[in-house]
Amino acid sequence: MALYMCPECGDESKEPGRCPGCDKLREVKHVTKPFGPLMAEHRVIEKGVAMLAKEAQRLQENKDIDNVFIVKIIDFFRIYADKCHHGKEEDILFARLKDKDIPKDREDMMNGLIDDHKKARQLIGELEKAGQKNDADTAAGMMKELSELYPDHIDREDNHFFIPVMDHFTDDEKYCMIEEFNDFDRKQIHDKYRQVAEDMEKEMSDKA
Amino acid sequence: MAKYRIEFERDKCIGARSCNEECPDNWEMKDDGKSDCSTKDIEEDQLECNMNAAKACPVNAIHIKNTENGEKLI
Repeated sequence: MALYMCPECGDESKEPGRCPGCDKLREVKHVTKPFGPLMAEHRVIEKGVAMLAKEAQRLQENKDIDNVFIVKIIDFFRIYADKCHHGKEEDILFARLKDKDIPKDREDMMNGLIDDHKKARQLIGELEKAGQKNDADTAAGMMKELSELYPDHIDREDNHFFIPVMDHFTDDEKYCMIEEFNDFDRKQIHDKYRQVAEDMEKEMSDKA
Repeated sequence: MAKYRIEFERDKCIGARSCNEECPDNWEMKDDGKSDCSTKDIEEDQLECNMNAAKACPVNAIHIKNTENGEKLI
C-alpha cells in the first residue's frame, strides 16, 4: 500500500523501517490512493447501470418482465454497489472526512452523495416490489431512474470529489484507509454468505 | 512475438498506484506521478498479475490483447 525509499541511497522497499545498507529510516515515496479502489468499483457498477438501461428499454418495448434478471440485478446493486461500495464510502471515507475541517462546498457535496445512496436504496426496494408483482411498467421506471441517477453520481465522485478530498489526509491516513477498505471488503463476503445460509435454512424449515 | 500485449493510455493515468500495488513486477510510479509498465509484451506467466493491474485501474487505462488471435482481454 506504500513504497518506501531510503533518503540516503535511494533503496526502495514495500516495508517501512531502516535501510539495511545505510541504516537510515526509509521515507514514504508513493502511497496507494484510496480513491483508486473506489473508482475501480465505479467501472464495475457502470456495467450494472448499462444493463439496467438496456432492460428498461426492453421492458418498455415488450413488457415481458424478466424476474431472474431483476433478482440478479437487485443482488448486484444491494450487495456490491450499496453494501460494499457505498458502505466503504459512508463508513470509512466520508466518516473520516467528517472528522476533518472540510470546506462547506465539499461537505454539501458529500451530503448530496449520501442522499444519492439513500435514493438508490429506495429505488432498488421499489424495483424489488415491482418484480414481485410482475409490474413491468413500474420495474422499467425504477430501472430507468437508477440508470439516470448513477452516471451523474459517479461523475461527481470521480471528477469533483474523490481526488480533491485526498488533500485532507496525510500519507499515513491514506495508508490506513486502504487497510480499512480491505478489511471492510473481507467482511462483506462473510456477511453475504451467512445471510444466504440463514435464508436457505429458513426456507428448508418452512418446507419441512 | 509475446503472446499478450499491454496497451496503456498513459494520458488517462491519475496516479492512484493501484496497478503498482497489484503488479509491482511490471508497473511502477514515475517521477511525474503517473504509472508506467516496464514491458508491454508479456507471456502467459505474467498475464494474471497484469490483468489484476488492469482490473484495478480506476480509469480503465490498461488494456491487454492476445496477439495471436487479436482478442481484447480487458
